[in-house]
Amino acid sequence: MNKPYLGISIMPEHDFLQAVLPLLQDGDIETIEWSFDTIKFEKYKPKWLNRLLQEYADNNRLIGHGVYYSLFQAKWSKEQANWLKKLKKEVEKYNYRHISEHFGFMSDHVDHHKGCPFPVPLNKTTLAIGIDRLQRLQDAAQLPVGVENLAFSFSKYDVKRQGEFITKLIEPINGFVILDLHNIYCQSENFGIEMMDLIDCYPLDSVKEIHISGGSWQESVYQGVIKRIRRDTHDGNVPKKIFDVLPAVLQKCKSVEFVIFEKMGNSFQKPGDFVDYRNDFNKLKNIIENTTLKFEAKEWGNKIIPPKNPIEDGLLFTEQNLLSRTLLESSNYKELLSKISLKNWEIDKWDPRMIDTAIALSKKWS
Amino acid sequence: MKLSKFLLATLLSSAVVGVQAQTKPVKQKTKIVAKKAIPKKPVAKVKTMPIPINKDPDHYYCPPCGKG
Repeated sequence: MNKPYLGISIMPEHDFLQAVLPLLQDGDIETIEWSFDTIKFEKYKPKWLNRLLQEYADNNRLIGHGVYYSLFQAKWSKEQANWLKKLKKEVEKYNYRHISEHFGFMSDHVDHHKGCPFPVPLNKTTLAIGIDRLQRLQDAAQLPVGVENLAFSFSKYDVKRQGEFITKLIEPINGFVILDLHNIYCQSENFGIEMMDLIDCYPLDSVKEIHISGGSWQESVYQGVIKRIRRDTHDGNVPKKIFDVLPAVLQKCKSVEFVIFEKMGNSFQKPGDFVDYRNDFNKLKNIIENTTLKFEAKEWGNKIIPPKNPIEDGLLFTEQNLLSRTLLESSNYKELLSKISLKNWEIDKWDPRMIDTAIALSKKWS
Repeated sequence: MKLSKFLLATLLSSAVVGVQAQTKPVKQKTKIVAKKAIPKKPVAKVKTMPIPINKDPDHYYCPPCGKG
């Protein structure tokens, strides 16, 4: 293997199928990533999607990406246990190369589908919980497991520490990192840090997969100043800065095997969106083809057995729920700060604009 | 990766069906639904309709990532 496989995150919508069909017909899609937990009931999965997944699985080109496991939920739940049961069935059905999940906890602990992922305090407790959940995930899937960096942070302080935290998180399972460059772009724009400075904070030797996508801007007013906040909505074109850094990132990530292009299936609103999607894909293809790479093969995963009882923390769980609820009930950062006091988070370091963004996020997905 | 002709044909026909479903006049679509729904279990019939998923994403499909 000299170059990473270029692929897409597949979506079940017809619009998406129309957008991607010419690329599939030309044989340009080398791999497919499927977020297997995004469809609640199998009967809602289109037949063409099953056939497509089977074809890529048969060719050893299918990778799985979870969304709703809620990696850092401080109390082990029935929903998480059921999620692992479904995962076992999924990996029996299709031959996946690996499984990944997102960093953070889902804001609705009862129905993860209703919530959105929020960051956790980066401390020993959350690290222990995250390692525990990843071990269970790997044990259920019997496949290498990875974690994706999060697009959202409450503070600049946490942004810089996320890479180091993920390094410790994946080490016990010999796991991998999904380096989502749009998530890095969001953090870079929102906190005024150069993309490459942030990227260098991550364990680049452990990057097995790179995600590329677009997003959108939200205006935030703080102390009379309007600032644009970048959000990871997967509905826009890929920013130029991401294309610009990609060659250097590919050279730094010597064991990267997959580059995945993501766009929401319901984001094709006008005819030009279909063309833009394929143009962005072809730009990625050209960059990968024209970048000289020295691939270093790496073994991933191990056979570590998780402890019998899941690690839990009652106070953290209470505070996760309190934060989620207060975000949902508050209309702005001032209101939230007046209502809440948390021992696990360093609220005094939070950026008011990011609190407002979290409030908007929370209301959007509840 | 080159796909089999059979799969490509399936994808092509599904894409065409999708276009037809989305471009049908609203009136005509409603009429067909009513026809199918009249018998014993109208609710079940509605659920199995080929409604494009992006028309009602929160109903049964949750978007992956992109929740940022």
